[in-house]
Amino acid sequence: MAGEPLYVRGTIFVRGKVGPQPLFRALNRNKFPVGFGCLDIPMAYNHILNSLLPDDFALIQLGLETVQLPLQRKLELRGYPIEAFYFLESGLASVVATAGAVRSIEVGVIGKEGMTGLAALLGADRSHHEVFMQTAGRAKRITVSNLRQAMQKSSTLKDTLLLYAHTLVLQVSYTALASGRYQLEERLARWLLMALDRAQGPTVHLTHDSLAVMLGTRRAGVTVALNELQKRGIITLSRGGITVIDRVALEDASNGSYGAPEAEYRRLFGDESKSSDLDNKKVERASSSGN
Amino acid sequence: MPLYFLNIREAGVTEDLEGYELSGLDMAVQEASEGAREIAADAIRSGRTVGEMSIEVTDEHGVKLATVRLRDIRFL
Repeated sequence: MAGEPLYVRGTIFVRGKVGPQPLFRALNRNKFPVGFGCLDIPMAYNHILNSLLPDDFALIQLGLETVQLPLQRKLELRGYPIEAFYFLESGLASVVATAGAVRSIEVGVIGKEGMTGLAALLGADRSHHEVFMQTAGRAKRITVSNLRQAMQKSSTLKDTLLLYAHTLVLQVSYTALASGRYQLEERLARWLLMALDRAQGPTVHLTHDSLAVMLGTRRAGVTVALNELQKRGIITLSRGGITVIDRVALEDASNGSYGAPEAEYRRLFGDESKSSDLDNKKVERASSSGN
Repeated sequence: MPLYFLNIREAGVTEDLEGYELSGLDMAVQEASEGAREIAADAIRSGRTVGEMSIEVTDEHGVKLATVRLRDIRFL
């Protein structure tokens, strides 16, 4: 759903708790004339925002600003204070650990399932990573102070965001496992799967050069590994794009380096592609948190 | 800065579609050599053979300027 921010407009009477996403779906399903009226609800396409309890979403709603994020846009700079959190709605952000100009490696990726600002979420004031857009996209931006205030007001909001922090730390730990115990081709397969999960469609738009930076290797090695996957009919290569043809084979090629953090994310946040799951999770977590 | 391309040659040729902006041929050959060592190291760890592989350095017109053969890497 690229393009301008969407608004639901209309006089809507709702009984019970309904978040903006299910509300929009309900309206669409019943062919309501969405688009006229006086009430504006900003729509989010970020999975964390969509899985918030309605009261928690309402608490941060006014602080959310839709921003376009072009390729290479820096969201955090190493050694500098973090100003804002970005709940991505499209595109891919890369979290990179670096020690000087020639030694850096990607430790995490964030897309529409997540948010940036892990250090600030956990209470630190500055970033020790570089975070930048690897693929252009869009996000809901909120300042650190605004989100922190809301987290102090709502323990359920805080709990949900800390659960996400847990899944991101888990992803980073599996990046360590992959970097230490897996071959380049397996790590490349893992990375392509993570990018594919966050892409719109089967093509990952990325240069071999940025892949080399992310995998912490030289481009010649990436070219050989990509070529090997192409020879086996798993991907096709073109200028600036890698198209995944056989996802199952790509998972096999990752040799177990991909999947565990993703499964944990789905366990905690539900499967983004199954909206009913999302709603069920919301109820489940609302009742388990003793509200 | 001039643009160099590092094509991988094994059974066929895998063309470098992006190229490297480097100050001179020496730097391009060094990049090819370090790339070749990484490819060889990965191949050794995973039990594959890459002895027939080489990296060709060309200019932006496709003129071959140098070749780094993986079998020439000294490691013993």
